[in-house]
Amino acid sequence: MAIKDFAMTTARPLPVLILADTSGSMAADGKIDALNQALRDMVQSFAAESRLRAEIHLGIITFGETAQFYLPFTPAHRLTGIDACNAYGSTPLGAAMELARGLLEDRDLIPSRAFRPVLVLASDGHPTDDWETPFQTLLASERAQKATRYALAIGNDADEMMLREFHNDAESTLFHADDARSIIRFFRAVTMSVANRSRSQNPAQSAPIDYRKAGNNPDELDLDF
Amino acid sequence: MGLRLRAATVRGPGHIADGLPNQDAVLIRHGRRDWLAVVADGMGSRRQAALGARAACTAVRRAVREQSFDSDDHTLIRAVYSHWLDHLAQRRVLPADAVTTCLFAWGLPDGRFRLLQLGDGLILGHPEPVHGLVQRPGGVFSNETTGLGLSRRYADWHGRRGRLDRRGDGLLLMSDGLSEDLVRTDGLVLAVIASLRGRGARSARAALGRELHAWPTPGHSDDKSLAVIYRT
Repeated sequence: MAIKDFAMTTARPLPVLILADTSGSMAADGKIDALNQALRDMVQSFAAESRLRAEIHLGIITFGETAQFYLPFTPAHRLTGIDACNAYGSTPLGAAMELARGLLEDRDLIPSRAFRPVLVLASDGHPTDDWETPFQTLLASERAQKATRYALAIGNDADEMMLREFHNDAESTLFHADDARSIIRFFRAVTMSVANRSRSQNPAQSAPIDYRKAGNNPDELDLDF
Repeated sequence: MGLRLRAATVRGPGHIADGLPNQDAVLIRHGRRDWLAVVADGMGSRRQAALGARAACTAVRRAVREQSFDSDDHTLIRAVYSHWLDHLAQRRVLPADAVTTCLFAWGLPDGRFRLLQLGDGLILGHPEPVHGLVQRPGGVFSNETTGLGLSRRYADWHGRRGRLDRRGDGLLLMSDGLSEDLVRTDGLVLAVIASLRGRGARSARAALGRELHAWPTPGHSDDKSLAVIYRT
């Protein structure tokens, strides 16, 4: 028996976990539609990514009235699409953070050979539960604290102080989405950054996130309506 | 009853593509008084990672030369660390620029051995209980580890003593370029020993090198190092 018979035959996972606000306020101004479009695009892009250097695994936690695993952690190449989320109820961000921490600490779901995870939070309002305790627990936890965290503030009512605290990527700042298109642009920027990282020689290192480049989608009609 | 020490290290595809040197280092020594195998993996993000790894091999060699085999772990660790720091200081290299893991097996002709490990990588043995001696420390992801130049605690080291008694007993020391991509470890020590049986040192090194170059995990990019010690 050769040594190579003991080798893994899959690339190391690159985990991406989205915390998506699906509270009632997201129903206004086309925000939930834009979020659904952005997540669909992200799934489609990740599914088509090469698995040569890293295998992107995607999970989505929604928090609208309740926090739940909307998309359980799944290798992206196995995804064919994603159902649209509905906007409803309160904003239980604390419960969502608890779910996220539990997942990131789970060594069966995310083995230690995985690359440092990416955690994305998109929200348009103020949390309606205690988010600070779960957030501090996440920051103090062994593995979850190591995730690269990006945050998106949707609209003028977003809790920017909380989102700024959440965002920890040194190369970028909290992104503001004043309209539906900006939501899509943010997720496109995250998608491009993760995809670049998964293709790089060293997926352990974060790839810069570039919001400006994400605005150039050759397939998009540049019309304001 | 004899003892064989074999080792190989190869540059990972990532470093080949980037034009970087091998940042792993291995050392095997088999003398009349004792034997030694060292595997060190320089932390790729540090400028002098390759030097740090080579310095770790040198430091362990110097430490075991001056220490008694019965010295306690703290004394041995301190000696290794001191020699590593001296080696860097002579070359005006900062420890933080040369961080490296350090795994070694030091043994006597009668089969007794002692193991020490700081940072990622894996030491496996046959028979148990050495098997799977040092697992990755919990709470980390790929390519995140501690090492010489980072760690300041004895508790970061893992140590064990044991004995290679019978023909076929053996030890494997490997860098995380290999250990992170193992689907299982049961039987690996025996498989490696079997693949080397009947080969001379040069032939064994070449055979191991071919195996490491042909590593089948998609996307593997790290340098890979393996040291093998076994009873014949």
